[in-house]
Amino acid sequence: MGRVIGIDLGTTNSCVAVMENGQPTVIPNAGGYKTTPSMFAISQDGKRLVGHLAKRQAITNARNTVYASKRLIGRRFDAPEVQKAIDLCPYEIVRGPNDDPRVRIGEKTFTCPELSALILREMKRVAEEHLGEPVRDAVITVPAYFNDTQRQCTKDAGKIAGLEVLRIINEPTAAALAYGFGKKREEKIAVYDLGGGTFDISILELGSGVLEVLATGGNTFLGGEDFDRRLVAHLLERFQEAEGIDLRADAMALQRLKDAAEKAKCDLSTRDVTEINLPFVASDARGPRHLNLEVTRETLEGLVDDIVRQTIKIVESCLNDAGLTREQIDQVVLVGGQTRMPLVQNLVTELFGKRPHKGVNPDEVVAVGAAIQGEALLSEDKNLLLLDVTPLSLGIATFGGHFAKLIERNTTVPVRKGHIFTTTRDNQSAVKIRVLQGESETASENDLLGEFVLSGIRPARKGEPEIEVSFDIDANGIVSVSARDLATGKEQSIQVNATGTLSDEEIQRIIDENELYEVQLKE
Amino acid sequence: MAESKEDKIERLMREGLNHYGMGAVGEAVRSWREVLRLDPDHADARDFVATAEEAAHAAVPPPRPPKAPVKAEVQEHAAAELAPGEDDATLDDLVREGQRLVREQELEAGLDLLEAVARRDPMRLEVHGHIEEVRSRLLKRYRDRMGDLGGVPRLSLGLSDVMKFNLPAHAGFMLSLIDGDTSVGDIVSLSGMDSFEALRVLNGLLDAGIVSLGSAVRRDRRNESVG
Repeated sequence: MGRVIGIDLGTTNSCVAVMENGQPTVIPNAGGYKTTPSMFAISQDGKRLVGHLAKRQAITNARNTVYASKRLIGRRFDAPEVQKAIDLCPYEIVRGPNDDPRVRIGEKTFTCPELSALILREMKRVAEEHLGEPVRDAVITVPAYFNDTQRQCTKDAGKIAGLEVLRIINEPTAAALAYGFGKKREEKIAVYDLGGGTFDISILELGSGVLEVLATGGNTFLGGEDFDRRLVAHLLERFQEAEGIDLRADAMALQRLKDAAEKAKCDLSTRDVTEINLPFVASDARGPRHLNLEVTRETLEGLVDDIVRQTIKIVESCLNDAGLTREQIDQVVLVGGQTRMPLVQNLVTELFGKRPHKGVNPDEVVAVGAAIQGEALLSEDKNLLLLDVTPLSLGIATFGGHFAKLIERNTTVPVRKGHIFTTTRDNQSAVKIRVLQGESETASENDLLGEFVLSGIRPARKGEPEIEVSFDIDANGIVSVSARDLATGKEQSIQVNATGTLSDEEIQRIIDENELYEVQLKE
Repeated sequence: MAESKEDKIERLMREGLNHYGMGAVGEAVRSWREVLRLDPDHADARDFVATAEEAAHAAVPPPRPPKAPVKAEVQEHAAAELAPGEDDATLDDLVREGQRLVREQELEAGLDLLEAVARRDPMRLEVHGHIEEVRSRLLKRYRDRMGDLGGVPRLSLGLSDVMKFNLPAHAGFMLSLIDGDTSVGDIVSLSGMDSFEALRVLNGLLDAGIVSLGSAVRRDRRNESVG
């Protein structure tokens, strides 16, 4: 086996790391950046753009630039998150044949795993260029709240990208690993993750090499890009006051403003004031007009304070769900580039009554943890290996619309558990097993992962047949379910391939299409 | 009354340009070849046939039929706007002046003038034909200058010197894409402009000495933060 890379497949930015001489190394791309925007576009002249190039024309070519597809992956088209994305995103989201959301650019429609695969392939390429050797194996991270379908779709994306995904691990778990937690004693850790597009808070408990997720919370539409938008609006207003020109409808000007606003926001994390210079941003009867404005940290903080404060309630609610007070939290870890902002760091200190750890770069820490986990899998070092847990309870729908849990959430994986069920009618010849994931006692309120039918049950009074239903969750949190009639020995099983995931044929078709595209590019 | 040879040549030249403006390159070349049959030394006809055939061999995009007129929000080439009230005779003079400039290889100046006429009177199909023919020649010139589009442009002047120029907003946008890492080909893709327009702007920046062409250098951005 060759090297294993750790990939943080982020909503806004992705990062790749590898272990070199026992130390995690974050790999820069050709432009020298250690993170790559999770963006894909098809330019007006038909060129496929990934990463930084896609980001630089995201506003001038908004209709054909896809971002934040992680918000869509593994969900149903009718899910509230997808419907909100349809309202907000300039690119076209359509219903796929599996009731999954897909993105249409021009004549082509992309599945969500395909879009994620484009980013993963780019990260694979970055790693291969740096290492000077092919890379095959990877550990990829996902949010702790991702269900089985979302994890499977992420794995499918890895396969399409030409990666063997050794493990899917939770992002807060990876962050905790990067800080070396969990080796010595029991600890309770809060992971405050404010990235470009999403906010996640996770409360973890470490003990005996097992990392348990006690509670998660967040907002998938709250992140650094909201901060950028506020600053852009401020700059537009000031320019209009000074020059009498409204740039809101000028896509080229907006692209420049967005890029400049993001850079200014980053500068103001280490400086009190910064200058934004955009020469020739407009022209009118007077000639060329230039934007030359100073922005202070104080101004920026005033613009975004309410956004940052939105995270307070979410954190408090998560602590409540975990049954903990802030005093009981031993360690606080910062994840996501937006946590570099002093305003955010001060708020986190205030929230938890202690300073957060920031020794590892917050936009690299998850990839670092994934690389550490990858190395542990290679070396089979049990000391390093943190066991992960299934984040959501698993069970089946039963008579009366109830949910029978077979595996409780936070059970260490891999795990196999079974239970005996029976029929509800006399002479019932078949049973339908509906596999659900979630915490509600009402079946319809949980996520349907898949369903199958076991037929050929011998005629009997209701309650007599014995049907053993077994659940098997592998180390990636992926589920297989079987049902066996103990009287006849007849068995039916599925690896849950829920609505929204791709069949093997579809995956191969996408791989073949992308290979064809690669060949065309080289010509 | 029979058409004179000079009138017939003028008609065929105009028809050729009309065809070229509508994207009917084959018809255009046939008209111009007919002119050369009547007058083998007709320089314009010879140049137009050469341009059309060279463009076809180089797989340059075919000429575009004229679109419905769009109100320009930004002056693209400040020198080439016309005062209000020009009548047809004045516009005819301007077309002839544009053609003269083109014949003297002042292609950009000629194109500016022809485009200004087309904006004023979009129904002059022969002007569209001229425009497309000049664009084809200019596109070849730009590509010859910039090579395989893999070259990387860099700023040659400091910001304070650049500010002394009178540049339109889309040139400012093009400048914002120049970072010493991104190739000409990628800049054209990122610009969102028609590739001819993007190369035209870049060529203008090269001519003005604001930008120069080189090869890429890999940067270390370890100390740069990322949002």
